[in-house]
Amino acid sequence: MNIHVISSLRHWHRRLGALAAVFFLLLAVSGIALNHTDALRLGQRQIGTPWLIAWYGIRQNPPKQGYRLPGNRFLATDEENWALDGKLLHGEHGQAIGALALDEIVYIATPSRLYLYRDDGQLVDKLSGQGLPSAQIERIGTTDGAIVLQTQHGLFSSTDALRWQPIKSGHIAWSLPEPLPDQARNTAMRVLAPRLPLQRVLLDLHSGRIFGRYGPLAVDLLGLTLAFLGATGFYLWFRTHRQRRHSAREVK
Amino acid sequence: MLFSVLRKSRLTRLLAAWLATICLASVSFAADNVYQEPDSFLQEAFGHTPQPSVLWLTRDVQAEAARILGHAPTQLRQRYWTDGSRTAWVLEEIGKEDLITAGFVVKNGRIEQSRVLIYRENRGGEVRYPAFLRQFQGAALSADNRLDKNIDGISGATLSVHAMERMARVALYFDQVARRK
Repeated sequence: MNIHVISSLRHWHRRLGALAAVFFLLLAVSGIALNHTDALRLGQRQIGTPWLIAWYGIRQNPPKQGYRLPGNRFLATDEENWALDGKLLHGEHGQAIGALALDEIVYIATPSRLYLYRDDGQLVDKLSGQGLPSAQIERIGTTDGAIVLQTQHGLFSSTDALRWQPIKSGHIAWSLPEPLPDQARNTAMRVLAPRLPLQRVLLDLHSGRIFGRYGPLAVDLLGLTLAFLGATGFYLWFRTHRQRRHSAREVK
Repeated sequence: MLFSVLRKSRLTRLLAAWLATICLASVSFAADNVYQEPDSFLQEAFGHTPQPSVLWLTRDVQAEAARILGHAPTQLRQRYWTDGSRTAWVLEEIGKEDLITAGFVVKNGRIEQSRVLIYRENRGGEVRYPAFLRQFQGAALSADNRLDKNIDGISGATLSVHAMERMARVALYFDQVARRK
């Protein structure tokens, strides 16, 4: 091959190698991490760094209303998550339709489930289907130390959320949403701040999607660069190796 | 004219069939696969639905359940159903990303019946087949709270198989604890 072409190959091999080294390192580290997603618990680790959340275009909807619990405590909710007194209640819950506290247990109802939490945010039980007196919950309230569910099949009360008795309407204190006081709203804003799974961020970084619609094309280009570096590196090594063998034979 | 040609064209029909298949496949992937409602499972096991009993997970029970599951149990109160000689447990565990709901009936410390009730994962649903579930029949806990029977895996469903094994072990362990009460 022409000496100018060889010189040009060597020049571009070095320049592209130096330029792409940082990106290759990034791809290598993210690739290795993704290969061990379960061991590194990437799906469970959450990132809430404000600039990253803003980069993804995610905006927080400030919780405006919640459910008042005894002791001036509040259950605040956004579209998916719940915060109880500054503690995030983990899980995919859905929209709460009522909450109340009875005997140190906080009962939170959604249209199809009833969640029982301890004050410290530990889940005690999650009732749905056969655990409920009816599939659809409309309201939750209390009467005489028992919780009451209003369902499509009538009113049911229970003291342990295990055995349900049909009751007739009486004096029932229903749980109703009310505006959150400033302090409760600020606490809820902090607790319910949007977060992303680390796995998603790493996947987007590895594929280039984190850089927008042209990111994957840039990663494709990096892939082609790596192929070019591999091919030119091998050719340059092979050529040098052949020349050395040739020179050694001539010396003999 | 053009429409009538298109209507009669084999290519158009093939394309429509392909699109319909894709749509159906995407719908089936998105939905929870309910193979048996928990209520129906209990009816089948007992002939009726008994009143639920409760097992409170004390610290030592939580610790042992966490050792079996590989993570802390998600809730402190476990409901179960019993007719005196048998107990039934409806448990949930994550296979790869989503929860699998399974039912186990335990008699004399051995699994009498096991079922996959609701399967939410995209892949690995083969664990619902009777040929796989039959392996759990008669299984009991060994001294270190492992199953005393070897459960053969299923290619492509390894994580679901492991989740079913963990739930079977927890059901047997909870049965032991409930009987000690």
